Amino acid sequence: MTKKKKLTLNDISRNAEKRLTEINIDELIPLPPPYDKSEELPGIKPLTDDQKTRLVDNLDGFNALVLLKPQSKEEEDKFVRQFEAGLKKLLNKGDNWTFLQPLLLSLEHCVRCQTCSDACPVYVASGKQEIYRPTYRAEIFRRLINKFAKPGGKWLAKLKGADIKLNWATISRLYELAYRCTLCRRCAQTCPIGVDNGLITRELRKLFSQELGWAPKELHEKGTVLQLEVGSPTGLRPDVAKDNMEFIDEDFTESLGIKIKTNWDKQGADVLLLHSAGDILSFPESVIAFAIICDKAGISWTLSSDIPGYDGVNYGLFYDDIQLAKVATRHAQIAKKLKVKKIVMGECGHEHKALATVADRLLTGDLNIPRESFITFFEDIVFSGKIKFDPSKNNFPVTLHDPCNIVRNLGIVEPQRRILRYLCPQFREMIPHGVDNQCCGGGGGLSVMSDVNINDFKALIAGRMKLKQILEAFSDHPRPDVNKYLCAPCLNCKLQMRVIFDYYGVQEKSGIYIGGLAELIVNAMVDLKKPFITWGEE
Amino acid sequence: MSGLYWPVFIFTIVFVFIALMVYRVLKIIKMPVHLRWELAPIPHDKERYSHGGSYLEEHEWWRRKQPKAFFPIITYMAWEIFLMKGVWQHNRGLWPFSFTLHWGIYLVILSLFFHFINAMLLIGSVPAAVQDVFFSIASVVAVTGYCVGLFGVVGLILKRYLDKNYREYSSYSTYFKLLFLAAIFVSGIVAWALSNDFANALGVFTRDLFTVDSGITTTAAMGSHIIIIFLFILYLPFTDMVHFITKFFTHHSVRWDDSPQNEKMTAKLRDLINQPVTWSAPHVKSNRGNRWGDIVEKEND
Repeated sequence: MTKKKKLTLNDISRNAEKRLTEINIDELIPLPPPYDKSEELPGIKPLTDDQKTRLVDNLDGFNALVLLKPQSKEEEDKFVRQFEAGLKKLLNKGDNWTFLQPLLLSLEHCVRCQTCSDACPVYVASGKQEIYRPTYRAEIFRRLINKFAKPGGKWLAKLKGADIKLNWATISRLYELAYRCTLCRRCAQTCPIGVDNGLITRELRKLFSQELGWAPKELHEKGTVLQLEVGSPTGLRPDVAKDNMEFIDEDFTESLGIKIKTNWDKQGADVLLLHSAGDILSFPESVIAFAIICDKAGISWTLSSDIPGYDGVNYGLFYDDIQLAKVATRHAQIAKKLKVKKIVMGECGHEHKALATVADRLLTGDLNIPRESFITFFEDIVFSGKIKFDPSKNNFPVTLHDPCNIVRNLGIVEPQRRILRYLCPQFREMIPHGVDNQCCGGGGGLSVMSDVNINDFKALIAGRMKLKQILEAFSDHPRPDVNKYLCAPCLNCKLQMRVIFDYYGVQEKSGIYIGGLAELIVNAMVDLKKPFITWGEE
Repeated sequence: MSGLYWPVFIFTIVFVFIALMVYRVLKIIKMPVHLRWELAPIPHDKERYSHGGSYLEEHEWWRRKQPKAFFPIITYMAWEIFLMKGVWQHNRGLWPFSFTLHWGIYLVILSLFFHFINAMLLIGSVPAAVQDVFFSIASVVAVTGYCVGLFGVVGLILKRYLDKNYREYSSYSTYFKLLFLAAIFVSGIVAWALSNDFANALGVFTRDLFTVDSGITTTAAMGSHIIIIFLFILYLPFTDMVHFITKFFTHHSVRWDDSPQNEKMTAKLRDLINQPVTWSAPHVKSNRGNRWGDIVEKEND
């Protein structure tokens, strides 16, 4: 094997037609058996001839963004000029009051000590490919900001030896590279100075979105735009969502033998449950489990059929402040209209971060309605004595995945563990866990992005550390003869894990099933005569 | 350099340094309220810090005022500043050099403090035996600082140049900064080696400085050392080394800023939301000087 040339920062602006690096599966960190044979894996799907003709493919062989090749040099130059204008707007108080202080603090005080590198699951899993180092992208962006958005920048860049060319190669690669980070912020956690490369990456995405109008279609066009227009990025319109839920209610009523009915638009309810609509489609048992828990605990609750009140996702968090604010404001307006006492955020990590903390300073006046995590809401119910539990019903191996947005970003760590320690006799932790957890690999919006071959990146690299952790947590039962439960209380994490599990055949080879926290609570209820968790059986 | 040039040179630099640092800090403080972007663990949450938890772990957290502890913040910062805990935990290979460089700097700063004390003792005509004790302490602190700091800075220069993980991220300015620090330590060692009574000479120099004695003078070696130190102080505010101050803001104003919106903040936020937006992407609809709040609200009408 020929040794790879060491990638330099300036390579980003050279040879726009050529890939910056090539990923070799054999260079990735090894996985435990039976997942250690790379020749048995599907590999990395190559671009088709048509895709090669149409799309920009100059980064790493993965393609998430479907960026079309410009038709002329003039078009390239136009984008470059827009990018340069965007750099200046990021430092402008009016345009970027939302993150100006955190951004400047992170840009101006990094000492390039590389302490953050080994915290990055993408960088480490890739076998330390330079392109994925948290500081690679951040340092290029920092040098561009210093050069083009600060007084005397061009002169100083030369003097300091920190000059980066701004051209089509630079911006097209930076755009794709901005979506090789899961925004998990493990890097930020280790920085002795407090620099946040996750934030820098998000600001880079924001520049592309808010100035050039470039964003992954799954996040923007079919994400926030669709959500504000029809109600949900899933495309579920209110009437369809209600119909689906009616069908699911009937289905579970029949299979469980207990009456289940979803409440819609109940004025003055104590709680507005804000699920991800993706759960209705992909994990309906989660939505049903919430309904059962609330009903059994005697909670006055409702869902909303207003657009987008039945979908708590907010992809704006990943790439665009304006879209973030639009969605969060709409959620708050719906809660206000229903006159609920509080919003309970469902099993969706980024919904938590967007609504509980980030939007806290967007929702002023009577829009600032109390918002609580489903985790503390459930903990209160579980330990209130209102529902009787039999933990022996959950006597199978269970481990917990900590969604970054709930744990590292919000600091909700122990309540879910208290529930699991009480209800699951075979609960075991992953290592590391809690605020030191490994990202699922689908953070930062990657989970819902699936164009071209980005799923291969998600399965092979971004989610590799997580898969390793999961397998190690169940190493006492490696074979599929024992059903094992991976509790991942976040829709995006669950979707990402499905991608990983499908890629490697984890369910078949290891007998691990993915589910949420609500399902485990319901499964342990004494009142429920039939098992709620069915291990993939209808 | 001799006579009044010294106090003019040194006090001007001290003044400019303070002014620049105040400017940098004010620039940070005056930045607008930003959206929350905290990161666990947050030390001021005394009850839950040990496991990284926050007040959001509490059922209906808004019903109770959330206290903020002061002591864990001090402990956290002390571990970071004095022991480089983060680097120790996550970047062990760098720690010996980072730790010694920082301690070299701390000791040199401490020695400056002792030179000031010695100047006061000289002005106060304190008995020679007492002065000798303080001169000895100043000497030991300064020379230890130079040696330890030199070890650290040479280690860092070599690490940055030889280790591929660092080389690409080290610009001319990175090496310049480190060489400048090395110059402080080397010139200090030279001044000490060429002086019969290093601390005494610096004590006398400091005394003459503060009494603005026109006869102030020093040896070439000592003078060079002093000039290098003060030129470095002048250079410092233009570098990322101001992290000794800005670390406070990266932590308190961002990472640990978990304060829910309050009335004072609401007023500021309303002003910010009323600012015009100039982003050009079509979905932003910033044409005709639309304001932040309008853009968000209109979409939701």
